[in-house]
Amino acid sequence: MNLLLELFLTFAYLDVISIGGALAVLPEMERQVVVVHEWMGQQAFAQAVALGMVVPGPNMLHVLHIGNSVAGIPGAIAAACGMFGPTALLLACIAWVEGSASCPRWVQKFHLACGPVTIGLMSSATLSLGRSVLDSPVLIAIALVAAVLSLRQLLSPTWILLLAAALGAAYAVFLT
Amino acid sequence: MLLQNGVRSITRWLLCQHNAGSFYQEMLTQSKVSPPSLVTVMMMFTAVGAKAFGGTFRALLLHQCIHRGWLTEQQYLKGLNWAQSLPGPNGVNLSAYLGCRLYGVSGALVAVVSFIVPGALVVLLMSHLMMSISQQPVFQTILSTVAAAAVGLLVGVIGKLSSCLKSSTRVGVAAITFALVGVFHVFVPLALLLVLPAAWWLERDRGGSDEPSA
Repeated sequence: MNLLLELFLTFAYLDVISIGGALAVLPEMERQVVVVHEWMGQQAFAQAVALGMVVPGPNMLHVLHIGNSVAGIPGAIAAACGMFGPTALLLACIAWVEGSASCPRWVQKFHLACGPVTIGLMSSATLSLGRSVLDSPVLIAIALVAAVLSLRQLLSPTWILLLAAALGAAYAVFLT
Repeated sequence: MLLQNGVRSITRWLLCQHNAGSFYQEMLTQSKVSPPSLVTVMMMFTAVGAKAFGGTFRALLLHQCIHRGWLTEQQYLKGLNWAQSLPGPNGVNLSAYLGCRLYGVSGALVAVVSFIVPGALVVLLMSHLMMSISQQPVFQTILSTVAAAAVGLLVGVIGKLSSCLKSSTRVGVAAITFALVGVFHVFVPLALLLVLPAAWWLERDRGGSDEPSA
């Protein structure tokens, strides 16, 4: 089979099964990439995932690195189209239907029922991120200040992130 | 009693954007904020894509959409509802939804591509250099402080969107979801399967009547 098509189909399959956040699908992605298709070794895959976590943007950007190492830039594009395309298309269709006048009534009900669930899911994601990230008093203080600044709308999120980065740089320079 | 009042007033202080929310809503209905152009959509999503470390796209996109008067908190929450309960990376899903709401189908395409491009360029650059600056100690420290701020920003998003939880049943549903997934580590699809039907049933006598027209 054409390598590009294979990349696209593999990542499209992973996209479609990734219910509950993209990170839930990492074990299956490892199986597909390392065992089934033998595109990468285990260690290279782990490094790719780590790379994906330090870049801005959506989760799963490391599929570009995997695609790139398998088949160059066209491979990266094929992998990205597979990983992001199908569900993005689905969401665009949903938004389109919701924007039109003939939006079915159960959609309203879905939102009423799902709103609290979404907020609960987001809270648990925040908790697990907090557990893994906030391992020193300084970091806890930064998180608290960021929370208050954004809740009180004193600073825009961009400035909060930039300030945190500047603080980190200063911290690293002065303490080492 | 005193404690309860104290907690309530602190929460009210923290959630002062209750008023802000209705202010934007008024602004939307009264002055009819003009819909964004495709270029504006592209620039907004590129800027967010370049800054969105560790799930902060939720905070960044919420801030942009509210401040430009494009959407209300409730409309934004609708996008998150779909993006988080369907498969696929949440950030891309939300971009596709918002892009389509803001500028139709071409808006969705432009939003997704421009949201991905900044991070994609970084990944490809590092992929070509075959070495990562992520090993450097300075970079590591910056990453951890930015990640800490990201946790705070997420708390901010939760606080802002909680204004949409207008009844105690809904607060309960949010709390149960949080307990299942956050505390007991129930697999997310399973938790959705357990909680969504119950939440649906709890809303049975409401036909979406307290929703503002979108």
